[in-house]
Amino acid sequence: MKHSEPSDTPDTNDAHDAHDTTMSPFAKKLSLWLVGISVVLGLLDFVIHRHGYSKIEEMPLFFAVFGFLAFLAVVAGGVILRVFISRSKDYYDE
Amino acid sequence: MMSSFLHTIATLPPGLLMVLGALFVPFLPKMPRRIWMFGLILASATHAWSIDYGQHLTASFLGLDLILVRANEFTKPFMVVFHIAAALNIIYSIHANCRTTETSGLAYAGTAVAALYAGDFATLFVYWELTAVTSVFLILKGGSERRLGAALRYLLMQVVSGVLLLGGAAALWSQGGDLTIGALDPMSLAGGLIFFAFGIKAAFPFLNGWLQDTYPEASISGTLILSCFSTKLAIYMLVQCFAGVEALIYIGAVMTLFPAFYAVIENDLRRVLTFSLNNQLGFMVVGIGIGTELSLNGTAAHAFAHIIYKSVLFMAMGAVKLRTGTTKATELGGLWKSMPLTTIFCIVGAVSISSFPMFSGFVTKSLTIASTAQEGYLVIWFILIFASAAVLEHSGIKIPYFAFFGHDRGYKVKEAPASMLVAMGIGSLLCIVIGVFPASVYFMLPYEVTYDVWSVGHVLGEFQLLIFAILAFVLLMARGLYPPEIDATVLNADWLYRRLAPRIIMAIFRPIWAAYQLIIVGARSILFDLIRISTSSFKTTGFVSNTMSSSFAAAVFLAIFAFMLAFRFLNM
Repeated sequence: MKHSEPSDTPDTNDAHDAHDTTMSPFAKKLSLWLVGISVVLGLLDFVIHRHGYSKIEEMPLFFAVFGFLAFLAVVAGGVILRVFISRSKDYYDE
Repeated sequence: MMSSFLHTIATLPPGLLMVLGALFVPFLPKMPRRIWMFGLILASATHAWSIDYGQHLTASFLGLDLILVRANEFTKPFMVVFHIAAALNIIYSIHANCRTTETSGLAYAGTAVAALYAGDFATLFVYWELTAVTSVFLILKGGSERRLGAALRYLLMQVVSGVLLLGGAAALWSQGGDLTIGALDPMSLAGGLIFFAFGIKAAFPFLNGWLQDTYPEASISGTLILSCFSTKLAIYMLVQCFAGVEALIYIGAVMTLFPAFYAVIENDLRRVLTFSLNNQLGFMVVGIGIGTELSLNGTAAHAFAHIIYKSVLFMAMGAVKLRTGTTKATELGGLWKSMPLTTIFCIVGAVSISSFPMFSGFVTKSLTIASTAQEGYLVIWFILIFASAAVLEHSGIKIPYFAFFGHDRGYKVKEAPASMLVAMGIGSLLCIVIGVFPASVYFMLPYEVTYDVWSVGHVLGEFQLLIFAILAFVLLMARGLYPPEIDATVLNADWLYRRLAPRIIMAIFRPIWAAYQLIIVGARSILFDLIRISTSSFKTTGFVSNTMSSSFAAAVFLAIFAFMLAFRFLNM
């Protein structure tokens, strides 16, 4: 991890990019705002009745939970798919 | 004289003016050329706008009754957005200053517009092939071996689609000769052939390989221009012929899902956009399959908004490619500092496609999604909501994040050229205008829009879906769980004809080839042996050419004679 490296190590190695979890102060602030907005949006579900076509849709927090899980599922699906269909970048040139 | 000339122009199919006018583009200098192209688009659009529903221009050719100009309630939204796209493409391409791209792009747009007005399958076939022929130069331009290969594969798939369309038209002709474009049964021979012809151009599952394979291989402006017309022409024709065909609901649902997973792992951001394009077509195809007023409105409106926001995204990635030389996620990041305006426009395109309320995707895609629930297709509704979260992932977050934010690669580049910024700016503005004033598109739609897109529950639900999905992204990033981009080739449906088909052909022909080789080699060695034996026998020192004494010869003849005599007597 980047933040656990000694500070005098030159930042030349690209290998740790993927696991670079350090966030800029701006990104941290933005994330906090996002969490705040999410909480408000979630709470609104208990104030406003969303009229939907189905009972499931009208359940409180349906869209919040579905959106969150769907995003994780899409990413997970991509990772699983990668195992089967990812080839070297020169695949068609060989 | 002048008025009769104008009268002739006014009876031509719209768009044809752009095609004919494009012939002069290569010979005009820079500025007059652009004014000329804008003039053509404006003239074509004005003419098209004035056309009422119904048949207007018919002709008879080789015993075929052709309908050259025919419009119905679906034509207008497609026509308007095709002209807008053609104009934006010209502005965006000013920087490249390439006559091939400009000529080809204008002719391609014109053919696509003219095709919207085709009233019979024979006329449509001509335009169908012309869209392929005029646009292939956009990929071919540059002429590297890689582009040549892509251009040939592109042309191959477009021509196959055209041949299927021609086959369908021939089948219709043999059944009674009515070639008028209208509702068809996909289970009939003619209907089936035409269904597949449209399916290839609309990038149905497993017929979609050409789209992701070839579009990103074109030039910067080329990819943008290609993304606007062919696939949406196919959507328009599916509406005309197969509205309400239930199979389309399931085909469309698969289209919204599969490309989304591909887009997660694809490294080239322009290719990510082609997967995203495919996913968007899926929503439109579902709308066609549902076939109600609400869903068909959804398809038309979505196509309208989609062409514009997708253009903005392709334009932004084109600008990135121009400045940095790449659109690979593994090589990009942190560009917002040097390209702030491009970043803003890209984000507007991204939030529009993700259908945030107040942006164009929300007021158009919602119609289709609502129609699935209204008609009781609950599973399809779930899939479309899921696919909406997926759109947010690949087009809403991945595109802007990896190009402009993410890991700063230290690029010190210039902002996009002014012409590109203007094109992106107008596109972004349209995304917002449509999003805030949906009536600007709704009034063109085939049916009156009664759906309340702004109901509090709907807006709240959409915000929750999107914001919580973004929350998931932030969580994955903060935990280092978001999968790293890898510079790789992702196998897609084009693999079927680029690798699998050659392998099958090889598997069949290899034994035949081996047998052929065996026979040839065997025959050759026998032949060589014969030649060797005969040369050794007939050469001067050989057995046949040897000189012998005459007494020996006489003795041989005598022996033969004696043998024959003995034989004769023994047989008596």
